[in-house]
Amino acid sequence: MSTKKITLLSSDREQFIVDEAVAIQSQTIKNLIEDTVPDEDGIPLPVVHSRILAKVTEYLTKHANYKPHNDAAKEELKNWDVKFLGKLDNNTLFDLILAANYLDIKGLLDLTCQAVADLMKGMSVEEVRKLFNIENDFTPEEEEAVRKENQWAFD
Amino acid sequence: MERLPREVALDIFSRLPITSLHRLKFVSKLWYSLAKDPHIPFMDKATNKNPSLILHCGLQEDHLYLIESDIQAHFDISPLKLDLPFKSVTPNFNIIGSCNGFLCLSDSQSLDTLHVYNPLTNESTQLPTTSTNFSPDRVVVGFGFSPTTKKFKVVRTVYAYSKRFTYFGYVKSDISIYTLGIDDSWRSQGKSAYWLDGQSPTALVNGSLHWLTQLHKYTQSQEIVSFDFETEKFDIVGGPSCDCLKKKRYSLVELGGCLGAVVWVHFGQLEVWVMKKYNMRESWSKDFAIIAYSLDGFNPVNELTEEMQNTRVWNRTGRVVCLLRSGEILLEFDNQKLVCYDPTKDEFKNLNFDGLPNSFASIALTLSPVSLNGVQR
Repeated sequence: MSTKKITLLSSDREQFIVDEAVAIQSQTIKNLIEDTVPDEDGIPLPVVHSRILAKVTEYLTKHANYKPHNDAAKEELKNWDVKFLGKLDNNTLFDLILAANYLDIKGLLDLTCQAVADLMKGMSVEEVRKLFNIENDFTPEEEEAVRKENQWAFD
Repeated sequence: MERLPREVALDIFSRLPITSLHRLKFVSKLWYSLAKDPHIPFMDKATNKNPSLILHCGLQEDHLYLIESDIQAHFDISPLKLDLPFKSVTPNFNIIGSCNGFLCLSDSQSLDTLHVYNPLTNESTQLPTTSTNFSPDRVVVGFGFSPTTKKFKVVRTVYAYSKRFTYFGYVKSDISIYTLGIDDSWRSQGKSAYWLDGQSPTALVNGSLHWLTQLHKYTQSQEIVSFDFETEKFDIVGGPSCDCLKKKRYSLVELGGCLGAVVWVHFGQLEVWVMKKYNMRESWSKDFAIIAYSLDGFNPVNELTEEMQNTRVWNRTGRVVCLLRSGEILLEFDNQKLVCYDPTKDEFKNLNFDGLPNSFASIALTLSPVSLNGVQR
Protein backbone atom coordinates (compact mmCIF):
# COMPACT_ATOMS: atom_id res chain seq x y z
CA MET A 1 0.00 0.00 0.00
CA SER A 2 1.47 3.27 -1.01
CA THR A 3 0.85 6.32 1.14
CA LYS A 4 0.57 9.82 -0.12
CA LYS A 5 3.73 11.83 0.38
CA ILE A 6 3.85 15.49 1.28
CA THR A 7 6.81 17.75 0.67
CA LEU A 8 7.45 20.46 3.24
CA LEU A 9 9.70 23.39 2.40
CA SER A 10 11.68 25.08 5.15
CA SER A 11 12.52 28.79 5.26
CA ASP A 12 15.96 28.02 3.80
CA ARG A 13 14.19 26.01 1.05
CA GLU A 14 15.22 22.55 2.14
CA GLN A 15 12.72 19.82 1.24
CA PHE A 16 11.32 17.37 3.78
CA ILE A 17 9.31 14.51 2.32
CA VAL A 18 6.95 12.84 4.80
CA ASP A 19 3.80 10.71 4.76
CA GLU A 20 0.62 12.71 4.70
CA ALA A 21 -0.46 11.07 7.97
CA VAL A 22 2.71 12.42 9.57
CA ALA A 23 2.29 15.94 8.18
CA ILE A 24 -1.37 16.47 9.02
CA GLN A 25 -0.75 16.13 12.76
CA SER A 26 0.05 19.79 12.30
CA GLN A 27 -3.27 21.62 12.02
CA THR A 28 -1.57 24.39 10.07
CA ILE A 29 -0.12 22.01 7.46
CA LYS A 30 -3.46 20.22 7.24
CA ASN A 31 -5.16 23.53 6.45
CA LEU A 32 -2.46 24.44 3.94
CA ILE A 33 -2.90 21.11 2.12
CA GLU A 34 -6.66 21.59 1.94
CA ASP A 35 -6.75 25.27 1.11
CA THR A 36 -3.80 26.08 -1.09
CA VAL A 37 -2.33 25.01 -4.38
CA PRO A 38 1.08 23.65 -3.45
CA ASP A 39 4.27 25.25 -4.66
CA GLU A 40 5.88 22.78 -7.04
CA ASP A 41 8.79 22.41 -4.62
CA GLY A 42 6.46 21.65 -1.70
CA ILE A 43 4.41 23.36 1.00
CA PRO A 44 6.31 26.47 2.05
CA LEU A 45 6.78 27.01 5.78
CA PRO A 46 8.58 30.36 5.67
CA VAL A 47 9.08 30.75 9.41
CA VAL A 48 10.57 27.32 10.13
CA HIS A 49 14.27 26.77 9.47
CA SER A 50 15.44 23.36 8.22
CA ARG A 51 17.36 22.80 11.46
CA ILE A 52 14.04 23.03 13.38
CA LEU A 53 11.86 21.39 10.74
CA ALA A 54 14.13 18.34 10.97
CA LYS A 55 13.29 18.12 14.69
CA VAL A 56 9.59 18.70 14.06
CA THR A 57 9.39 15.93 11.46
CA GLU A 58 11.37 13.61 13.72
CA TYR A 59 8.78 14.18 16.45
CA LEU A 60 5.80 13.89 14.10
CA THR A 61 7.10 10.70 12.45
CA LYS A 62 7.54 9.01 15.81
CA HIS A 63 4.12 10.06 17.05
CA ALA A 64 2.30 9.18 13.82
CA ASN A 65 3.76 5.70 13.59
CA TYR A 66 3.35 4.97 17.21
CA LYS A 67 -0.16 4.78 18.51
CA PRO A 68 0.20 3.46 22.05
CA HIS A 69 -2.28 0.71 22.87
CA ASN A 70 -1.17 -0.16 26.37
CA ASP A 71 0.69 1.26 29.32
CA ALA A 72 4.02 -0.20 28.25
CA ALA A 73 3.74 1.44 24.83
CA LYS A 74 2.72 4.74 26.40
CA GLU A 75 5.71 4.48 28.70
CA GLU A 76 8.02 3.85 25.76
CA LEU A 77 6.69 6.87 23.89
CA LYS A 78 7.16 8.96 27.01
CA ASN A 79 10.76 7.77 27.27
CA TRP A 80 11.27 8.63 23.63
CA ASP A 81 9.96 12.17 24.30
CA VAL A 82 12.36 12.55 27.22
CA LYS A 83 15.28 11.47 25.06
CA PHE A 84 14.13 13.76 22.27
CA LEU A 85 14.08 16.73 24.66
CA GLY A 86 17.42 15.74 26.14
CA LYS A 87 19.16 16.28 22.82
CA LEU A 88 18.00 19.89 22.48
CA ASP A 89 19.93 22.96 23.56
CA ASN A 90 17.93 25.84 25.02
CA ASN A 91 17.87 27.87 21.82
CA THR A 92 16.54 24.94 19.84
CA LEU A 93 13.96 24.29 22.54
CA PHE A 94 12.58 27.82 22.19
CA ASP A 95 12.71 27.59 18.36
CA LEU A 96 10.78 24.36 18.62
CA ILE A 97 8.12 26.02 20.81
CA LEU A 98 7.75 28.75 18.18
CA ALA A 99 7.47 26.16 15.42
CA ALA A 100 4.99 24.00 17.36
CA ASN A 101 2.91 27.10 18.03
CA TYR A 102 3.01 28.21 14.38
CA LEU A 103 2.37 24.72 13.02
CA ASP A 104 -0.31 24.13 15.66
CA ILE A 105 0.98 20.80 16.98
CA LYS A 106 -0.59 20.51 20.41
CA GLY A 107 1.43 17.53 21.66
CA LEU A 108 4.76 19.09 20.77
CA LEU A 109 3.77 22.48 22.21
CA ASP A 110 2.72 20.81 25.46
CA LEU A 111 5.92 18.83 25.65
CA THR A 112 8.23 21.77 24.99
CA CYS A 113 6.37 24.25 27.23
CA GLN A 114 6.48 21.74 30.09
CA ALA A 115 10.20 21.24 29.44
CA VAL A 116 10.87 24.97 29.81
CA ALA A 117 8.73 25.15 32.95
CA ASP A 118 10.61 22.17 34.43
CA LEU A 119 13.89 23.85 33.59
CA MET A 120 12.91 27.10 35.28
CA LYS A 121 11.10 25.96 38.37
CA GLY A 122 14.08 25.25 40.59
CA MET A 123 16.09 28.23 39.44
CA SER A 124 16.91 31.50 41.09
CA VAL A 125 16.36 34.84 39.37
CA GLU A 126 20.07 35.13 38.58
CA GLU A 127 20.27 31.62 37.13
CA VAL A 128 17.31 32.29 34.86
CA ARG A 129 18.80 35.58 33.64
CA LYS A 130 22.07 33.84 32.87
CA LEU A 131 20.53 30.80 31.18
CA PHE A 132 18.15 32.74 28.95
CA ASN A 133 20.49 35.68 28.48
CA ILE A 134 18.01 38.16 29.92
CA GLU A 135 19.08 41.59 31.00
CA ASN A 136 17.72 42.94 34.27
CA ASP A 137 15.89 46.03 33.02
CA PHE A 138 14.70 47.15 36.46
CA THR A 139 16.52 50.18 37.82
CA PRO A 140 17.68 49.58 41.42
CA GLU A 141 14.89 51.91 42.63
CA GLU A 142 12.24 50.08 40.62
CA GLU A 143 13.50 46.72 41.80
CA GLU A 144 13.34 47.82 45.40
CA ALA A 145 9.83 49.17 44.88
CA VAL A 146 8.47 45.96 43.33
CA ARG A 147 10.18 43.82 45.93
CA LYS A 148 8.65 45.87 48.67
CA GLU A 149 5.27 45.52 47.05
CA ASN A 150 5.73 41.77 46.86
CA GLN A 151 7.43 40.80 50.06
CA TRP A 152 7.83 37.10 49.86
CA ALA A 153 10.52 36.44 52.37
CA PHE A 154 11.41 33.24 54.08
CA ASP A 155 13.76 32.57 56.92
CA MET B 1 10.67 33.96 26.90
CA GLU B 2 11.17 37.32 25.22
CA ARG B 3 10.88 35.67 21.79
CA LEU B 4 7.66 33.80 22.49
CA PRO B 5 4.12 34.96 21.77
CA ARG B 6 2.52 36.15 24.98
CA GLU B 7 -0.03 33.34 25.17
CA VAL B 8 2.71 30.73 24.90
CA ALA B 9 4.77 32.44 27.61
CA LEU B 10 1.67 32.51 29.82
CA ASP B 11 1.13 28.80 29.15
CA ILE B 12 4.65 28.11 30.41
CA PHE B 13 4.11 30.31 33.47
CA SER B 14 0.91 28.44 34.29
CA ARG B 15 2.94 25.22 34.57
CA LEU B 16 5.29 26.61 37.22
CA PRO B 17 4.78 25.97 40.90
CA ILE B 18 3.32 29.18 42.20
CA THR B 19 6.27 29.90 44.50
CA SER B 20 8.62 29.67 41.50
CA LEU B 21 6.38 32.04 39.60
CA HIS B 22 6.60 34.50 42.43
CA ARG B 23 10.34 34.27 42.66
CA LEU B 24 10.92 34.57 38.92
CA LYS B 25 8.81 37.63 38.29
CA PHE B 26 11.82 39.71 39.32
CA VAL B 27 13.82 38.50 36.31
CA SER B 28 12.78 41.45 34.16
CA LYS B 29 9.93 43.87 33.52
CA LEU B 30 8.47 41.54 30.92
CA TRP B 31 8.53 38.60 33.32
CA TYR B 32 6.96 40.76 36.00
CA SER B 33 4.09 41.68 33.69
CA LEU B 34 3.67 38.03 32.62
CA ALA B 35 3.60 36.76 36.19
CA LYS B 36 0.94 39.31 37.11
CA ASP B 37 -1.15 38.71 33.99
CA PRO B 38 -4.69 37.73 34.97
CA HIS B 39 -4.88 35.59 31.82
CA ILE B 40 -2.41 32.97 33.01
CA PRO B 41 -4.41 29.82 32.23
CA PHE B 42 -4.04 28.37 35.74
CA MET B 43 -7.51 26.98 35.63
CA ASP B 44 -6.72 24.48 32.88
CA LYS B 45 -3.99 23.03 35.01
CA ALA B 46 -5.64 23.42 38.38
CA THR B 47 -7.55 20.18 37.95
CA ASN B 48 -4.25 18.30 37.89
CA LYS B 49 -2.95 19.90 41.01
CA ASN B 50 -3.20 18.86 44.58
CA PRO B 51 -3.87 21.60 47.06
CA SER B 52 -0.97 23.10 48.95
CA LEU B 53 -0.68 22.78 52.70
CA ILE B 54 -0.40 25.43 55.37
CA LEU B 55 1.07 24.16 58.62
CA HIS B 56 0.21 26.12 61.72
CA CYS B 57 2.69 25.77 64.58
CA GLY B 58 2.23 27.55 67.84
CA LEU B 59 4.54 27.47 70.81
CA GLN B 60 5.45 30.85 72.28
CA GLU B 61 4.81 32.42 68.94
CA ASP B 62 2.62 31.19 66.09
CA HIS B 63 4.13 30.48 62.70
CA LEU B 64 2.82 29.34 59.36
CA TYR B 65 4.70 27.09 56.97
CA LEU B 66 3.80 26.45 53.37
CA ILE B 67 4.20 23.13 51.56
CA GLU B 68 3.51 23.68 47.92
CA SER B 69 1.95 21.03 45.74
CA ASP B 70 3.37 20.06 42.42
CA ILE B 71 1.59 18.83 39.33
CA GLN B 72 3.22 15.42 39.25
CA ALA B 73 4.45 14.86 42.75
CA HIS B 74 2.38 14.80 45.88
CA PHE B 75 4.16 17.54 47.74
CA ASP B 76 7.76 17.80 46.74
CA ILE B 77 9.11 20.92 48.35
CA SER B 78 10.25 21.32 51.92
CA PRO B 79 8.14 23.60 54.12
CA LEU B 80 8.75 27.32 53.78
CA LYS B 81 8.35 29.51 56.82
CA LEU B 82 6.13 32.44 55.94
CA ASP B 83 7.05 35.94 57.03
CA LEU B 84 3.65 37.01 58.33
CA PRO B 85 2.80 40.67 57.64
CA PHE B 86 0.45 40.86 60.66
CA LYS B 87 3.01 39.41 63.08
CA SER B 88 3.52 42.64 65.03
CA VAL B 89 -0.22 43.17 65.56
CA THR B 90 -1.13 39.52 66.12
CA PRO B 91 1.76 37.31 67.23
CA ASN B 92 -0.61 34.53 68.33
CA PHE B 93 -3.53 33.47 66.23
CA ASN B 94 -6.01 30.77 65.30
CA ILE B 95 -6.86 29.84 61.75
CA ILE B 96 -10.57 30.39 61.14
CA GLY B 97 -10.62 28.83 57.72
CA SER B 98 -9.43 28.99 54.15
CA CYS B 99 -11.19 29.77 50.92
CA ASN B 100 -9.91 30.27 47.35
CA GLY B 101 -6.32 30.58 48.49
CA PHE B 102 -7.00 33.06 51.28
CA LEU B 103 -6.86 32.42 55.01
CA CYS B 104 -8.86 34.06 57.73
CA LEU B 105 -7.17 34.26 61.14
CA SER B 106 -8.23 35.51 64.53
CA ASP B 107 -6.06 36.94 67.26
CA SER B 108 -5.80 34.50 70.18
CA GLN B 109 -5.73 37.38 72.68
CA SER B 110 -8.35 39.63 71.19
CA LEU B 111 -11.45 37.91 69.79
CA ASP B 112 -12.30 41.06 67.88
CA THR B 113 -9.14 41.17 65.77
CA LEU B 114 -9.46 39.30 62.47
CA HIS B 115 -7.09 39.18 59.51
CA VAL B 116 -7.54 37.97 55.96
CA TYR B 117 -4.28 36.78 54.47
CA ASN B 118 -3.07 35.52 51.10
CA PRO B 119 -0.01 33.38 51.88
CA LEU B 120 1.15 33.48 48.28
CA THR B 121 1.21 37.22 47.72
CA ASN B 122 1.96 37.66 51.44
CA GLU B 123 -0.61 40.41 51.77
CA SER B 124 -2.95 40.74 54.69
CA THR B 125 -5.68 43.07 55.82
CA GLN B 126 -7.14 43.59 59.25
CA LEU B 127 -10.92 43.65 59.33
CA PRO B 128 -12.76 46.43 61.17
CA THR B 129 -13.69 45.66 64.75
CA THR B 130 -17.26 44.85 65.65
CA SER B 131 -19.43 46.08 68.44
CA THR B 132 -22.23 44.25 70.19
CA ASN B 133 -24.22 45.64 73.08
CA PHE B 134 -23.09 42.80 75.30
CA SER B 135 -19.68 41.34 75.97
CA PRO B 136 -19.34 38.02 74.20
CA ASP B 137 -18.30 34.83 75.98
CA ARG B 138 -17.86 32.90 72.78
CA VAL B 139 -17.15 33.91 69.20
CA VAL B 140 -17.64 31.61 66.19
CA VAL B 141 -16.27 32.93 62.91
CA GLY B 142 -16.69 31.58 59.37
CA PHE B 143 -14.93 32.58 56.17
CA GLY B 144 -16.19 32.03 52.63
CA PHE B 145 -16.88 33.38 49.19
CA SER B 146 -19.96 34.50 47.35
CA PRO B 147 -19.70 33.16 43.79
CA THR B 148 -22.00 35.65 42.05
CA THR B 149 -20.56 38.83 43.54
CA LYS B 150 -17.07 37.25 43.72
CA LYS B 151 -16.52 38.68 47.18
CA PHE B 152 -15.10 37.18 50.33
CA LYS B 153 -17.34 37.28 53.36
CA VAL B 154 -16.78 36.74 57.04
CA VAL B 155 -19.67 35.71 59.26
CA ARG B 156 -19.31 36.10 63.00
CA THR B 157 -21.68 34.78 65.63
CA VAL B 158 -21.16 35.89 69.21
CA TYR B 159 -22.80 34.31 72.23
CA ALA B 160 -23.11 35.46 75.82
CA TYR B 161 -24.52 33.64 78.80
CA SER B 162 -27.14 35.81 80.34
CA LYS B 163 -26.13 36.75 83.86
CA ARG B 164 -29.74 36.64 85.01
CA PHE B 165 -31.05 33.50 83.40
CA THR B 166 -28.12 31.14 83.65
CA TYR B 167 -30.38 28.56 85.29
CA PHE B 168 -32.26 28.13 82.01
CA GLY B 169 -29.09 28.21 79.94
CA TYR B 170 -30.42 31.30 78.24
CA VAL B 171 -27.95 33.00 75.95
CA LYS B 172 -27.75 36.19 74.01
CA SER B 173 -26.42 35.98 70.50
CA ASP B 174 -25.73 38.21 67.55
CA ILE B 175 -24.77 37.43 63.97
CA SER B 176 -22.85 39.93 61.90
CA ILE B 177 -21.46 39.77 58.38
CA TYR B 178 -18.65 41.63 56.70
CA THR B 179 -18.06 41.58 52.92
CA LEU B 180 -14.52 42.44 51.84
CA GLY B 181 -14.41 45.25 49.33
CA ILE B 182 -18.06 46.24 49.92
CA ASP B 183 -18.87 46.82 53.57
CA ASP B 184 -17.35 49.61 55.62
CA SER B 185 -18.48 47.95 58.80
CA TRP B 186 -20.13 44.77 60.01
CA ARG B 187 -23.81 44.27 59.23
CA SER B 188 -25.77 42.93 62.17
CA GLN B 189 -28.22 40.16 61.30
CA GLY B 190 -29.85 39.67 64.67
CA LYS B 191 -30.00 36.61 66.88
CA SER B 192 -28.72 33.17 66.00
CA ALA B 193 -31.08 30.21 66.00
CA TYR B 194 -28.19 27.77 66.36
CA TRP B 195 -25.65 27.08 69.06
CA LEU B 196 -22.63 26.55 66.84
CA ASP B 197 -19.63 24.56 68.00
CA GLY B 198 -16.67 26.79 67.31
CA GLN B 199 -14.09 24.18 68.32
CA SER B 200 -14.68 21.36 65.85
CA PRO B 201 -13.57 21.69 62.22
CA THR B 202 -15.83 23.33 59.66
CA ALA B 203 -16.27 22.36 56.02
CA LEU B 204 -16.78 24.70 53.07
CA VAL B 205 -18.88 22.84 50.50
CA ASN B 206 -21.23 24.04 47.78
CA GLY B 207 -20.75 27.72 48.66
CA SER B 208 -21.80 27.08 52.25
CA LEU B 209 -19.82 26.69 55.41
CA HIS B 210 -20.84 23.86 57.73
CA TRP B 211 -20.57 23.68 61.48
CA LEU B 212 -21.65 21.12 63.98
CA THR B 213 -23.93 22.35 66.72
CA GLN B 214 -22.87 21.96 70.34
CA LEU B 215 -23.60 18.50 71.65
CA HIS B 216 -27.15 18.59 73.02
CA LYS B 217 -27.31 18.11 76.75
CA TYR B 218 -30.25 15.69 76.76
CA THR B 219 -30.43 14.02 73.36
CA GLN B 220 -26.62 13.79 73.02
CA SER B 221 -27.07 14.57 69.34
CA GLN B 222 -25.44 17.05 67.05
CA GLU B 223 -26.75 18.69 63.95
CA ILE B 224 -25.04 20.12 60.91
CA VAL B 225 -25.74 23.80 60.29
CA SER B 226 -24.86 25.49 57.01
CA PHE B 227 -24.35 29.15 56.18
CA ASP B 228 -24.85 30.05 52.53
CA PHE B 229 -22.46 32.88 51.64
CA GLU B 230 -24.66 33.88 48.72
CA THR B 231 -28.03 34.17 50.46
CA GLU B 232 -26.53 34.78 53.92
CA LYS B 233 -28.95 32.26 55.45
CA PHE B 234 -28.32 29.56 58.02
CA ASP B 235 -29.97 26.18 57.59
CA ILE B 236 -29.93 22.60 58.85
CA VAL B 237 -28.30 19.94 56.69
CA GLY B 238 -29.22 16.33 57.30
CA GLY B 239 -26.36 14.41 58.84
CA PRO B 240 -25.56 10.72 58.39
CA SER B 241 -28.72 8.96 59.45
CA CYS B 242 -27.11 5.68 60.45
CA ASP B 243 -28.11 4.75 63.99
CA CYS B 244 -24.59 3.83 64.95
CA LEU B 245 -23.51 7.44 64.39
CA LYS B 246 -26.20 9.13 66.38
CA LYS B 247 -24.38 9.09 69.66
CA LYS B 248 -20.87 9.33 68.30
CA ARG B 249 -18.85 12.46 68.02
CA TYR B 250 -17.74 13.15 64.51
CA SER B 251 -16.07 16.02 62.73
CA LEU B 252 -16.81 17.61 59.39
CA VAL B 253 -14.47 17.72 56.44
CA GLU B 254 -14.61 18.72 52.78
CA LEU B 255 -13.70 15.79 50.54
CA GLY B 256 -13.51 16.33 46.81
CA GLY B 257 -16.29 18.90 46.85
CA CYS B 258 -18.56 16.78 49.07
CA LEU B 259 -19.43 17.16 52.71
CA GLY B 260 -17.75 14.45 54.75
CA ALA B 261 -17.97 13.26 58.33
CA VAL B 262 -15.06 11.61 60.10
CA VAL B 263 -16.09 9.28 62.89
CA TRP B 264 -13.73 7.73 65.42
CA VAL B 265 -15.22 4.33 65.98
CA HIS B 266 -13.17 2.18 68.33
CA PHE B 267 -9.58 1.16 68.86
CA GLY B 268 -8.44 4.11 66.86
CA GLN B 269 -10.28 3.09 63.74
CA LEU B 270 -11.88 5.90 61.84
CA GLU B 271 -14.71 5.88 59.37
CA VAL B 272 -15.21 8.41 56.66
CA TRP B 273 -18.77 9.15 55.59
CA VAL B 274 -19.53 11.25 52.55
CA MET B 275 -22.74 12.98 51.43
CA LYS B 276 -22.59 12.19 47.72
CA LYS B 277 -25.42 14.53 46.73
CA TYR B 278 -25.53 17.81 48.55
CA ASN B 279 -28.34 18.18 51.07
CA MET B 280 -29.72 14.71 50.35
CA ARG B 281 -29.70 12.89 53.62
CA GLU B 282 -30.12 9.50 51.91
CA SER B 283 -26.93 10.03 49.94
CA TRP B 284 -24.67 9.74 52.99
CA SER B 285 -22.59 6.61 52.70
CA LYS B 286 -19.63 5.14 54.48
CA ASP B 287 -16.78 5.54 52.03
CA PHE B 288 -14.13 3.68 53.94
CA ALA B 289 -12.79 2.73 57.30
CA ILE B 290 -9.16 3.29 58.20
CA ILE B 291 -7.43 0.88 60.50
CA ALA B 292 -5.52 1.74 63.61
CA TYR B 293 -2.38 3.76 63.49
CA SER B 294 0.46 4.26 65.89
CA LEU B 295 3.39 6.63 65.63
CA ASP B 296 5.65 3.68 64.80
CA GLY B 297 3.50 2.71 61.87
CA PHE B 298 0.23 1.06 61.13
CA ASN B 299 -0.99 -2.14 62.63
CA PRO B 300 -4.13 -4.01 61.78
CA VAL B 301 -6.49 -3.86 64.75
CA ASN B 302 -6.32 -7.60 65.38
CA GLU B 303 -2.57 -7.46 65.95
CA LEU B 304 -2.86 -5.03 68.82
CA THR B 305 -2.92 -6.12 72.40
CA GLU B 306 -5.90 -5.02 74.41
CA GLU B 307 -3.71 -2.71 76.41
CA MET B 308 -2.37 -1.05 73.27
CA GLN B 309 -5.88 -0.60 71.97
CA ASN B 310 -7.09 0.99 75.14
CA THR B 311 -4.24 3.44 75.45
CA ARG B 312 -4.39 4.31 71.81
CA VAL B 313 -8.05 5.11 71.65
CA TRP B 314 -7.85 7.96 74.06
CA ASN B 315 -4.41 9.33 73.38
CA ARG B 316 -4.74 10.10 69.77
CA THR B 317 -5.71 12.97 67.64
CA GLY B 318 -6.09 12.25 63.97
CA ARG B 319 -7.57 14.36 61.24
CA VAL B 320 -8.54 13.95 57.63
CA VAL B 321 -6.89 16.90 55.87
CA CYS B 322 -8.01 16.56 52.27
CA LEU B 323 -8.58 14.32 49.29
CA LEU B 324 -5.69 14.18 46.81
CA ARG B 325 -6.10 14.00 43.05
CA SER B 326 -4.85 10.45 43.10
CA GLY B 327 -7.86 9.45 45.20
CA GLU B 328 -5.65 9.09 48.27
CA ILE B 329 -6.61 10.72 51.53
CA LEU B 330 -4.18 12.97 53.35
CA LEU B 331 -4.27 12.34 57.10
CA GLU B 332 -2.57 14.15 59.93
CA PHE B 333 -1.80 12.22 63.10
CA ASP B 334 -0.90 13.46 66.55
CA ASN B 335 -0.04 16.90 65.15
CA GLN B 336 3.26 15.56 63.88
CA LYS B 337 2.80 13.18 60.97
CA LEU B 338 1.35 13.53 57.52
CA VAL B 339 0.22 10.26 56.02
CA CYS B 340 -1.29 9.35 52.65
CA TYR B 341 -3.90 6.65 52.74
CA ASP B 342 -4.91 4.79 49.59
CA PRO B 343 -8.42 3.46 50.17
CA THR B 344 -8.35 1.16 47.14
CA LYS B 345 -5.26 -0.69 48.35
CA ASP B 346 -5.73 0.01 52.06
CA GLU B 347 -2.13 1.22 52.17
CA PHE B 348 -0.42 4.01 54.05
CA LYS B 349 2.55 6.10 53.09
CA ASN B 350 4.31 8.42 55.51
CA LEU B 351 5.17 11.77 53.99
CA ASN B 352 8.52 12.95 55.20
CA PHE B 353 9.73 16.44 54.56
CA ASP B 354 13.00 18.05 55.45
CA GLY B 355 12.44 20.74 58.01
CA LEU B 356 8.97 19.67 59.08
CA PRO B 357 8.12 21.42 62.35
CA ASN B 358 7.78 19.20 65.41
CA SER B 359 4.16 19.92 66.00
CA PHE B 360 1.60 21.43 63.68
CA ALA B 361 -1.96 21.54 62.44
CA SER B 362 -2.37 21.41 58.68
CA ILE B 363 -4.87 23.05 56.39
CA ALA B 364 -5.24 22.36 52.68
CA LEU B 365 -5.64 25.26 50.32
CA THR B 366 -5.19 26.03 46.64
CA LEU B 367 -2.80 28.94 46.33
CA SER B 368 -4.05 31.96 44.46
CA PRO B 369 -2.02 34.77 42.90
CA VAL B 370 -4.99 37.12 43.28
CA SER B 371 -3.92 40.27 45.07
CA LEU B 372 -5.76 41.37 48.18
CA ASN B 373 -5.98 44.84 46.63
CA GLY B 374 -8.13 43.39 43.85
CA VAL B 375 -10.31 41.61 46.39
CA GLN B 376 -10.89 44.79 48.36
CA ARG B 377 -11.92 46.86 45.38
